[in-house]
Amino acid sequence: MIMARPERVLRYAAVAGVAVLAVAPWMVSLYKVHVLNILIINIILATSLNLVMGYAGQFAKANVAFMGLGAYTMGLLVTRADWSFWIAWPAGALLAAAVGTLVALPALRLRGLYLAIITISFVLIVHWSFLHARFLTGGASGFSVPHPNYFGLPIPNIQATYYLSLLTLLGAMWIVRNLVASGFGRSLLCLAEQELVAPALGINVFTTKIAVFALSGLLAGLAGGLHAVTLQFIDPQNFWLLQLVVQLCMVALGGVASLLGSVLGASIMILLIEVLRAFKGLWEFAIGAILLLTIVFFPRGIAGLVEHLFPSLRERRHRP
Amino acid sequence: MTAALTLEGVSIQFGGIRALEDVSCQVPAGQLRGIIGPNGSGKTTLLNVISRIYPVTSGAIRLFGDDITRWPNHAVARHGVMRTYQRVALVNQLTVLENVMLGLHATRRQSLLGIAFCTPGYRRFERESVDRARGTLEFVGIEHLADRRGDELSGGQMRLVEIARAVVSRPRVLLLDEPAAGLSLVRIDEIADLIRRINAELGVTVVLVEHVLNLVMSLCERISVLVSGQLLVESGSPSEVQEDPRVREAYLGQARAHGPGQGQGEGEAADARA
Amino acid sequence: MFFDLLASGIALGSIYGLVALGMVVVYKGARAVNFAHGEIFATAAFVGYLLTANGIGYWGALTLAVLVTTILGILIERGAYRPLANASDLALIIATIAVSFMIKGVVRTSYGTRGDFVAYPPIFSFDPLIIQGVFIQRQHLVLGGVAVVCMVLFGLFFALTRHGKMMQAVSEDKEAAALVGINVRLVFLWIWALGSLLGGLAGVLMAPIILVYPDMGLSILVKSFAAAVLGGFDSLAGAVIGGLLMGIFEQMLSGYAGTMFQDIAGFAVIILVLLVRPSGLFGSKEQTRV
Repeated sequence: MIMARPERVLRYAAVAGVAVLAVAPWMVSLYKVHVLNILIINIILATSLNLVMGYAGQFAKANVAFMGLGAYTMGLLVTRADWSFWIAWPAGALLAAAVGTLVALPALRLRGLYLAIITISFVLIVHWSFLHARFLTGGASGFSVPHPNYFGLPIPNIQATYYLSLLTLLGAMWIVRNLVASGFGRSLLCLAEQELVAPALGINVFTTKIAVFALSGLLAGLAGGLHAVTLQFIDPQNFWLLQLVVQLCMVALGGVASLLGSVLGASIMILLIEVLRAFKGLWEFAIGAILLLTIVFFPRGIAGLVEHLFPSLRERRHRP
Repeated sequence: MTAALTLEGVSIQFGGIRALEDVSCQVPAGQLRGIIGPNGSGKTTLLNVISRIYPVTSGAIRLFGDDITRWPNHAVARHGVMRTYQRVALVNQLTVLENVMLGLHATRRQSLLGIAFCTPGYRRFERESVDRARGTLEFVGIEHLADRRGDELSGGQMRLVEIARAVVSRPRVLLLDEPAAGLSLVRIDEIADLIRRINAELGVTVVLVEHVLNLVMSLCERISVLVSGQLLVESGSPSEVQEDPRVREAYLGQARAHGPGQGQGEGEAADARA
Repeated sequence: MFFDLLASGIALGSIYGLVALGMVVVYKGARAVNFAHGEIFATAAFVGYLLTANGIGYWGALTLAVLVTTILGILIERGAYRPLANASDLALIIATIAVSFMIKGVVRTSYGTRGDFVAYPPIFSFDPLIIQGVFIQRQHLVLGGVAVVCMVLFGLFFALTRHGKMMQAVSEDKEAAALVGINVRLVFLWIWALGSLLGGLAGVLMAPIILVYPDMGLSILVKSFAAAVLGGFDSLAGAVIGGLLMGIFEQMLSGYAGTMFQDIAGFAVIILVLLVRPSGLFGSKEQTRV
């Protein structure tokens, strides 16, 4: 028997996965389309968090706040200022990216635990603002967001939004893949492992950190906007610590500094959440247990395990 | 001859302790300069000051005439100063080839947009980078390790990769911090040969801080001796340094059994290993 | 009003100090930030509630609940800390977050059909004491007092007993402690047990003055984090003082600016302190080397 080369298998699997996602809206129920859409958005989010936490090795956990800022900015501009979704969405993402650069500033001074604490506090403050700026955000009860205008595209809105998410995911993955396989990606890994050595190699730590936080903010902001139009609703509950921990799980479970890891982690977590949704407390217990077992037994996540078994599947950090 | 590196009255203080005191010296372009001195005399600190990891308290550092004293440290690297470390500092998540490519950051860089959208210009750039890195691996003699990861190498191999990373950008000045520490005698000979070739064939000015005195004596044209943060000998030939009674005294003062003579190299290497 | 707020601030603050102390003990001793500390607090409050609701007196319930959380601390050490002895800080942080979710899941399931919020039976009558014109809740007075006594006892334990000294030795230098024959692993176990004991104690002390609910761990976690950050994460005295300051600040803020700001006091303190003086009031500075 001839064994297929693992990297080729992976490539076919990726193509097949995209093909399945592309035809899925016409094959499954609307609810499942919705779940798949949420999965796609979460892969973007996991990738965004992985850039900062996995590749650049910064303990920053402000991702949920970027996502919320993207969603709220988009939603408010559309509902209050009558902007078109097609302008409001990128505007929200750009704002999230701008805030991302601000969060990068403490990351220049603070390390490890302290960076984690300050960014978590930032998430809580942003959540608190959404909750208490009632005149603008509707407080805890949130507000609804209309479907984007698809200019008479002859498919239903739900499917159209799904394809918008899918295209965003593919574009984001292409760009992030290019970036992590370049000098930029290599300097991120250098920051993660040897931060003091980086400048002596000519790496500008300041601009590199700013760039990776801005990029992460941009992706999370885009995902936030998509999330809002997918749910057709925005409320503060979606940008809370629980989501933060779920995203953390995706990255830890899938594998740090690995795009394959982000995809696998997000998929498994979303599947689990769907399966366990009916059980209130058990849900939390299961997530905790899975996370703990992963950390103890597979410190580099599923992707780490895969790379260990098939070294040729190691993510390339250069173009061959 | 122009000076590659000039230190003018460099002092540095940590808390109340003076780690370097009024150090002045010149390294002419193309020279292979050794810096020796007993443990804790400030040799590594001197390298850290030159590569701008530590800011100086007073004094000035010039690189080919440019005053780099207040430059940010990444700018110094881009101006042509590369270095290695006493404790090897490779990135374990990268392969050997990719680690060497990290060293190219100090030369040309690409715009993030170009990378993100994978423009033809960037593709060409990355291809050239791979070729340069492979060329350097061949020069160092470890091209067969290109696809290994940082944490899959032996100590000696790691040192070679670090040297490759430091010279891939063709720096003007190379700072080597104890490249022979922890190596066997055969390996030390290989490293000596490599340093000589870097100096002669690539035309790189080399500043070598080393504990293995044998290596320094056989390799370097001029030697500086650093004792308790001060330059005892600014620049002397190997024989001058060996015969200098003050140098002998300084080493004896630290460890009676070891003198800075030929044949003591093994003992020193053992020290460095410990 | 100022003195009323000050009094309740000190009472609450001394309990925050107790929670923060538990957290700092674990950080200082075992170099781990226990993100599950809030859940330990919440578990103690809930177990205490269950016991009192079943007719066990307050102090009996307190003892039993603290015993439960102490065992919980030991379990965390065995299950999540020891297996990760050589792992990165990130792994440890994620592990304690994972544990906090597991505990929260179990606690939430145990609430069953009880509803999400339950009221802890008060220990004393509700009418406040009036001393020199200042209103003081009797419960605040007693519970704050107990918290202070516990802190003093803990300080004495740490400074005077053999076990306390061993813990100090391990937290200063693990290798050296092992060399002089201290069983470092056992000491880690004590450290986690002790940290959880403090968290649980604070939970049962706090429960009668607030509502008990499954998510109560998070808000106390933020407050004790703020207290610990303010005091400096590796200073025992700092945790206590940070807790007091935190309690007073929070009460003043909610008294003068509105209760909605009570929630945000902790975050604001954390961000300010970390931006201005990351080592806190009494902590030691981190140092980096090439």
